[in-house]
Amino acid sequence: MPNRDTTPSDEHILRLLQSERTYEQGFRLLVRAYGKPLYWHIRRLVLVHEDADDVLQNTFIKIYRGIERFEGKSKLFTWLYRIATNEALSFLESRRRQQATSLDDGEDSLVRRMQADPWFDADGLQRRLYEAVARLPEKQRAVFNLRYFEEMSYEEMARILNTSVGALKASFHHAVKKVETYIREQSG
Amino acid sequence: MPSRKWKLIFESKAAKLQAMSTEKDDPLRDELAQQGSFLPTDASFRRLRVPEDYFADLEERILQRLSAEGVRRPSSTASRFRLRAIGRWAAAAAAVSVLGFWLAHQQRVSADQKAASAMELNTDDIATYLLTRPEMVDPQELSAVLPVNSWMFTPFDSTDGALSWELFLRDLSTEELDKLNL
Repeated sequence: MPNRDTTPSDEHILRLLQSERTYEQGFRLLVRAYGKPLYWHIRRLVLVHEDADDVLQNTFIKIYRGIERFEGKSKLFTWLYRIATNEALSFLESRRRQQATSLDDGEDSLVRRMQADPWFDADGLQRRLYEAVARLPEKQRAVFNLRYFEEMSYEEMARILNTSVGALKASFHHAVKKVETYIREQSG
Repeated sequence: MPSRKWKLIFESKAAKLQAMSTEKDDPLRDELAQQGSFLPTDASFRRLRVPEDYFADLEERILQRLSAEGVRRPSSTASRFRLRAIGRWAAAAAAVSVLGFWLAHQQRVSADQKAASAMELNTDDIATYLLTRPEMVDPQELSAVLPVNSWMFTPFDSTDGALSWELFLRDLSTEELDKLNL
């Protein structure tokens, strides 16, 4: 979530976006306020910086085109995270389809891409953690990331992922077990 | 030295309090502890690297890409926001109008009910009332406006006697007329 002490309020951003004259200023403020949290959310889903950058830009292009569809029924933050999540999952899905035609293993491919990323320099336990995360099914990875890395409340996660709190808790519990099992096996 | 001792005690207490408050505000750690998980929760462990100044020029790069791809902000953005606001006002105005019509209808129904209760007086009652008060309406004028079945009240000394007789006789059957032997 963006730091509310240093970033403009959602109301201010939305007010600027309502006028043609101030639209660009409003959009700049939106990118400034939400660029960082959305990047990290996307990066932990797609795991490679270059891919995260692409997906982030696509996300902001969608937001730019479709901001008038934001009806204010949810928080702006929730709406933006939903777009970013969908965009990242679509990206991973299209990549998986490409890999299916090239007979490549999706999970291993993602791990290899992550290890080849010059911006991935984790080692030891941290490295194994990210490898385990890369092996999680995509939706479960989204749940694990929002809870473990972003420490988001289950209620907020439910609004973003359109799932019940109970289902999210169960999904996180299973994800933690899978990650731990992988780490144990690799540390073995 | 006593002041140094107190300083150490104070620092130790402060550290304990800070640790307690940190523990309270870490629901993730509590949740993982309940699961018996060994996953660490300190932020540095979870961090990934990103190019320097990546976020500094993010908005410029996104705007450049929007421009390069010719992505235009929907021209209707402002008007859609405006339309939504107008829509809300229109809905409110419609609701007020419906309420107004309903109240007016209720009043009209009430007036109609009063009129209906007045209509319960039949024409005979009205005719009787008026005929017994010649000072209010001239009987000649009254006979001209009253319904046909009220003309029986037309006095026989009317100047237009033929019409009165004709109307008077109209209700009689042929046999009755023969018996009258006129």
